[in-house]
Amino acid sequence: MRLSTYIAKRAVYIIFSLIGLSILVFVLARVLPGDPARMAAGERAPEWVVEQLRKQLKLDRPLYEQYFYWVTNLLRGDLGYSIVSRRSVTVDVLEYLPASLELIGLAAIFQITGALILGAIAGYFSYKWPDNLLRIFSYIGVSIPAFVVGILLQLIFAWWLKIFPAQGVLSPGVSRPPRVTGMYTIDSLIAGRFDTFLDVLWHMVLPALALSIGSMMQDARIIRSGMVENKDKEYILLARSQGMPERLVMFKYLFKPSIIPAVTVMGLDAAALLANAFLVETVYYWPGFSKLGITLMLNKDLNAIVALVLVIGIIYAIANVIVDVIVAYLDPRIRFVETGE
Amino acid sequence: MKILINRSAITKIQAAVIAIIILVAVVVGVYFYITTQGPQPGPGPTPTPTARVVRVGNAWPIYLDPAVGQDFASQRAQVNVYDPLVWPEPNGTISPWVAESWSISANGLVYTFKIRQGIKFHTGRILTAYDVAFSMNRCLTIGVGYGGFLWSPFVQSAYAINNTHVQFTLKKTFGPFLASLIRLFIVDRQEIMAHIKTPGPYGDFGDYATDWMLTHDAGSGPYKVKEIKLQDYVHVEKFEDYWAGGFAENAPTEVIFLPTAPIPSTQRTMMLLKQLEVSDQWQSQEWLDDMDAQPGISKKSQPCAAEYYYMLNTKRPPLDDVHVRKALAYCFDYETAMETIYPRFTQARSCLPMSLPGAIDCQIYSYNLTKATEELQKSKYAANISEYTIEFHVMPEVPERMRDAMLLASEAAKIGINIQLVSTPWLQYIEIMSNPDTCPHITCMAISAYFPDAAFMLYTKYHSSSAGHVDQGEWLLDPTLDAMIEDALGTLEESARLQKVAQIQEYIMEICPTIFIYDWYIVEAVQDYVYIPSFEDPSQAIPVEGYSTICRTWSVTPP
Repeated sequence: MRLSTYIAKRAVYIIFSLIGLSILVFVLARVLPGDPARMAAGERAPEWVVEQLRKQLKLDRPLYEQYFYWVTNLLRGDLGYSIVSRRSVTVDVLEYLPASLELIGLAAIFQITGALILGAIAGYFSYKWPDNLLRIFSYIGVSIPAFVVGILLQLIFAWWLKIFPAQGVLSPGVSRPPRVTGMYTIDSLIAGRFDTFLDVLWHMVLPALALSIGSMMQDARIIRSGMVENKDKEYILLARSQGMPERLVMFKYLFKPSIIPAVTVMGLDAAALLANAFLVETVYYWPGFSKLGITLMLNKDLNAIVALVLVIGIIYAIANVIVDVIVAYLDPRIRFVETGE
Repeated sequence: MKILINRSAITKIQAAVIAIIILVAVVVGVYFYITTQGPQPGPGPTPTPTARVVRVGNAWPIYLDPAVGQDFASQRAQVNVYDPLVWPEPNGTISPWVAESWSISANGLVYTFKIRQGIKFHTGRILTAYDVAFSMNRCLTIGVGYGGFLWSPFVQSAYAINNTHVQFTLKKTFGPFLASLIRLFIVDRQEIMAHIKTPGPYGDFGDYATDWMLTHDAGSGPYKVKEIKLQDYVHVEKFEDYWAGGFAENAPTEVIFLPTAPIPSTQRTMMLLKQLEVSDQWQSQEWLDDMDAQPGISKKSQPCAAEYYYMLNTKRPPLDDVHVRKALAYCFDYETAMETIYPRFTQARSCLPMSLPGAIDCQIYSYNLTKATEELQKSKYAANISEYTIEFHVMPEVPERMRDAMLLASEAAKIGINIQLVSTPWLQYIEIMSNPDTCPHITCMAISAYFPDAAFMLYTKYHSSSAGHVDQGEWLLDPTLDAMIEDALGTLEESARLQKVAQIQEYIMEICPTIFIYDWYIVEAVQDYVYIPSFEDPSQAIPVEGYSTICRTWSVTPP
């Protein structure tokens, strides 16, 4: 199968997955306890106000009709009205998502590079002290929730050592660059303000690190396992017996095939960073989409919850395709297996 | 092979040297970058460099629109940006503010207010009686804020007679009407009309500019909006043309309300790094004590007309029997609770907080297991009380409350009453309380007075029209009590109204629908370089939600 056909096929799968996800979340959000109209109107609001809101939000209609309205609006780019922010959810998504994306972008870089380096070291020195050390840190990294790591990093690097800021995006005296993409880093570069760019990066280090450590450790372990498994394979022995330089054996013949299983996990882990960012963004006061998500969920903001899950779903699906393509590229057998060639 | 190895070794050394040089350069660069930064950065907007800034912890959402926001977080910001029609004094009386004077018709149905001349909105326009009438009508139409539950049952119409006089006509006599107007914040009519979006849910008024008001203000208060970033901050700056003055010598020139509530450790770090001057009021005793132990930070408190209740569902057996309810009231170890869990609050003495004018000390229950047993024996459930499991639902969002609930459960067990504690999230709480059959045996809630009037607090807490709301988990539906409350509400003369309020308090204490735990205080951690008069001298505190934060009276002298 050609790579382009393969990608097209995956894209069709995504559309069906997202339709299924939207129905599921739409229904789930509506069976959660709490009357959204009452929440929007306030606990003491008289019944006529609640009813008025219920009609306005079309919550008085049957569920299938509500879904139909929602999908119709979605196709027009309107994700519905948020009862918490009291404006279109689309505006909220456009306002807060870019800041989250740049944070998880840096976290993904930390996660992937960290996992590759640590995994390679542990795999190369398997059953020696670097491997044992990594194993201990892996267990710790995987088992501690990201927001706890966030608090620990904040305590050590912001409070004790005072080398990174505790919260926020910009330092006092540094004004926000003119909004173009909504990403502080990109907007700083567009505005030609390199000092602002560095300032934002400086603020991003701790939350990005907190977000990435868990998946970084997990991915490193997978890479390490792959390397240990491949290390004793015959083609490696052959390469070594032919006197190939160790660096060549290591990176070309051992490392590359060993990371294929990890690539799938790394890609999905990177996408999952957005969902994991809920509490990390709150701890670091990062003005992103995930921090907003907590408030929306606590207030049963139906449209916003559906939009939130859908956005995470879309990012996940895109990551999935990218991962599939990379894996198919790295290992063409996968493409052929799909078609039985 | 040897040559290869040698070549490789040379390359490695070169690579290592280059790597070390780069690393050193990066470390040195980062070091200089960091050390040349100013004070510790903080979240939120960037204040003007010369400004005296106060950053105040708050919850989110903050709805600055007076026709929408009615919660503590919103009111705290509103009182600094808008002017109310009348002003509440610390002793509970009402003073002129935007209204210079007023008259009330003999039948108590028509209120005419003379509007103060020369008040400027932040836009520079002059505030008139037309703005006042418009503000009331906007609240009544939108309905989600105070307009809906506070004024729509009572206010027939609001119209401006001319530029200086506005008239409100009531549907029925409402004694506390004047006091309720501390919640009527005046908006700039022309500014609102210039920003309405049509079509909208309010007919000719479109969306009544509710969308625009999310991020802008239309007020005349001591501070004006500089920037609002939803979920992040509300940043306000001093309004130089403020008509009432009253700014302290070192009053903050900028105030930033930051949503800080969810993570205590984050707020702690912000306080320690001096990124936050005043904490929010939702932190635990341990957190506040910890802050108080830090140099340069103190724990401060001021009274607030709010009380924490155990609401007993009087429609569910065995709590439909007054003697079982009284037995529970005698089971609670008030002193231990106050000493060990809530030393920052004071024990409740009535069904009304004592800081509310008209509250009388009528507490007749104390921890006494002998009396509790006697009461239980008088009940129709004496023989089979062990067959009942009383469900006590506690919100996990406030962990401290589980501790006092456990205290009640353990003491009740000593006289054979089985209490089961159930953790119920806030959203579910609201839903289950809306029906007497699903409303748990016991629910707990801190409830505050919306304005300084005891009769109205009794109305929102115990009148049948409140049943089903979170204010009333008792489901009393008591016609006698309803009549008493309505009578008090309809009484114009204040001393007569307060006399009736006193009788109602004694009546409620006798039928024991509620266990009264403590009177709420606003307790916050404050940096020592911020002076807040209402914290230093409680006699200056206005014990009404929002009015605890009058920023223009504060002084800031950063070290």
